[in-house]
Amino acid sequence: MRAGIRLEKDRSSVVAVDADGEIVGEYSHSIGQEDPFPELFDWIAHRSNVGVRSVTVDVGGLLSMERERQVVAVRIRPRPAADPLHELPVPPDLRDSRLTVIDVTGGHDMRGRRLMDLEVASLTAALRGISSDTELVASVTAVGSVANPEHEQQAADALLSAFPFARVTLSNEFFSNSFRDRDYTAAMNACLMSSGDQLAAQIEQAARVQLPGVPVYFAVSDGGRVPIRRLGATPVNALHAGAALGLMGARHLAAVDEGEIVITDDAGAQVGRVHAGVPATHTVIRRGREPALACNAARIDPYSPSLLGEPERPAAVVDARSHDAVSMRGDLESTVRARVDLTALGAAVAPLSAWADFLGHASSSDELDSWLRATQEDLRSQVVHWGAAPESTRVVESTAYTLAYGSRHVVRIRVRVIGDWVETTARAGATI
Amino acid sequence: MRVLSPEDVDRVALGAQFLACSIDPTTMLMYSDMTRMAMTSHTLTLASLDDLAPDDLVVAVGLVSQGLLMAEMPPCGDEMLGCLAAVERAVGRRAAAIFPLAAANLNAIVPMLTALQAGLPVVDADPMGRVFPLISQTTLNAAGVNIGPVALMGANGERILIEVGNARRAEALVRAATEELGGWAASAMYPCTVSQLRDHGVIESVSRMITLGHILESVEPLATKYRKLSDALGTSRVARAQVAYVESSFGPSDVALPAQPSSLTLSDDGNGRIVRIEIQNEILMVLVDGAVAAAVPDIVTLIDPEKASVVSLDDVRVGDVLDVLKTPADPKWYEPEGLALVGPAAFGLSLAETQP
Repeated sequence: MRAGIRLEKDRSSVVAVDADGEIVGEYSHSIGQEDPFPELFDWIAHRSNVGVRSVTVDVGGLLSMERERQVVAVRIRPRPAADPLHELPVPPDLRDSRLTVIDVTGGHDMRGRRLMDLEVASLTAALRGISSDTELVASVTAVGSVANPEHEQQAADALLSAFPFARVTLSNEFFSNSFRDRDYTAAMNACLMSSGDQLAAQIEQAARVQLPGVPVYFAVSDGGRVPIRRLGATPVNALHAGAALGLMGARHLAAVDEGEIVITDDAGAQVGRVHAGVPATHTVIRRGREPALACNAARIDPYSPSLLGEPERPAAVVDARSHDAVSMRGDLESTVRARVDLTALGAAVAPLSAWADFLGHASSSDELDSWLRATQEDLRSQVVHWGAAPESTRVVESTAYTLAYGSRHVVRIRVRVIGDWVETTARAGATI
Repeated sequence: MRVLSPEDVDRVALGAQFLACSIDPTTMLMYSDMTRMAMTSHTLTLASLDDLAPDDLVVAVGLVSQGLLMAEMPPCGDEMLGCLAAVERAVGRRAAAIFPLAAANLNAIVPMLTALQAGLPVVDADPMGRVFPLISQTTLNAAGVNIGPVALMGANGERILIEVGNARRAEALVRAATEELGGWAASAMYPCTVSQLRDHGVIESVSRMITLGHILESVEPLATKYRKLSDALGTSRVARAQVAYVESSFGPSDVALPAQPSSLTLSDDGNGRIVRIEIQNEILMVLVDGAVAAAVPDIVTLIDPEKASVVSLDDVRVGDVLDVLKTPADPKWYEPEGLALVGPAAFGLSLAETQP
């Protein structure tokens, strides 16, 4: 049995599916106490006579931003802005944090060559202005760090020398070739780390007591899951998992592995595309004019057939309205009625998901093929290490392409491997 | 002179994305925002060539990229003005106005902010009418207008002035210098008179982007937008198809273009056609079942039909459904001198071998 948990501020839902993907139980109640996990895990433990194979938790609704600790965002680039117009503003959702931005000279080009030496002394001097007994979380973003992380690592060393217990996020952990987007993503991740740590500790503690030996995961924004122990390190990947899980749940009920799925609920209609059984993804989450979040995320948009150039029939229309009194768009005809919480179901059936996204150097097709094969095998190993059966792993994306106007022989390599994928055979909880 | 509004700037940005393939959306947004902010205290004017004296000096400004998106190394703000001043010093005259190096992509919007910083108008003309990968691929060069002197400045503050006449040599020198400057460089080049730009440039290309932006920003159905694009620009839809493969190739090439070629293969579920898109920095050719459906200098745009938005090549993924649109380039490009610079053969493509 696999269980998926959706957590919101005041409510939780659990859905359990058996080995064939059939829904075998669901549970929902309001959250009153500080730590809801013992009760939720107790329900899961008493639900199944057979072993619980995995529990996946959507914690996106419970993650909270750092408000107590000092947050430092180190930005490393060749020169500071020459005028106020060109300064990178602090995004609105970070303005309530105790955020200090430190600009430092340094950076690399896309060939990994140093553009300027890192001014460690100026960083150290700036850090001296922060009280040494401060608990610190920090992000470090350097120009060109996706090609050469040297300056980010050196800056992190300087931070840890001054503040040995600081939690530091390096921007090269998130692929984007936009300095602004990586800076924002790293700062957001830093601000969520404490919350991620606390949630991971609570979940692991409850699992140890109620479900000893059962692997526990958290859901990520591509519709997959990763081990819970990583939640404290990369909580930002969990922030927008809910929508992706909803699409995974809808895809499971509708038994659709390829095509567009429309989900209608009390809030309206959204559309997402499923490819090879998992949500098609963006490499970033765009937020209008604000910086984007550099996370692989399911592509889900408000449904608007008026945009389409000609009639397009979605593969499924999943009706997830709470009751029939909620009106549904007249141009949509339901093909599946969802009786369960789609997000919790999506968490239950979410596959293990591992990505590699980096710049490589290749001067021949053979070299490129070698890169891709090696990356695929690395990711297969990772997913197996996380708990997937080796025969269950498969590559759902494997591309290598040159960056327009990029340096010759520099290629962006993107590979995604999933494992422990559930066939779309569930019918309990759905009516057609 | 026409005073541009902040909304016009957004329309230029939308139109500029439609006319290009490799979009840097972050920088486009940043420049759009910075320009709008600068417009709160300064007036942005668009000058027709008739607004200026025939002998006035006008200079092209824009970005040259070789190795890095501007989004990865944001500008400090003094680069464009530094280049403009360097060219003015070199030719011994002050510019009366600036014009975009290309009326597409970032080079369409960067001159807007530069014009505000310099207190100059932007000319409603450019030397490409779209964007081509090389700075030698201009209607001005095709007509023999001198590209030099060329001024470059990187985000690290380093400056280079290249005194050069031959555009191909300029291309080689600028490309090499840009990579060493960090991956992109602000540039000023093609100092010329208003008469030269009128005779040999692509006229009203900025206005065209505003028109395009008007069409694209509307909330009308995509089919209506396509009809309007067809009426305004002669745009037609080549295919709606799903991306099946994204590939890079490493074949030998005699053409000194940035980056290696890559290809997209799409399948049209409706009728089983196979669409192949050949790319090297920009989209060079579209084949449908082996027949050429579009080729440079045609402008090819990828549209997400679900969102009615332009798709950047960097964002294309296997499984995506895309509309492939073709728009004719400026008529100058289909003349023999134009085709010699930007036709398929200039990119190492042989049309004869691709005909069915």
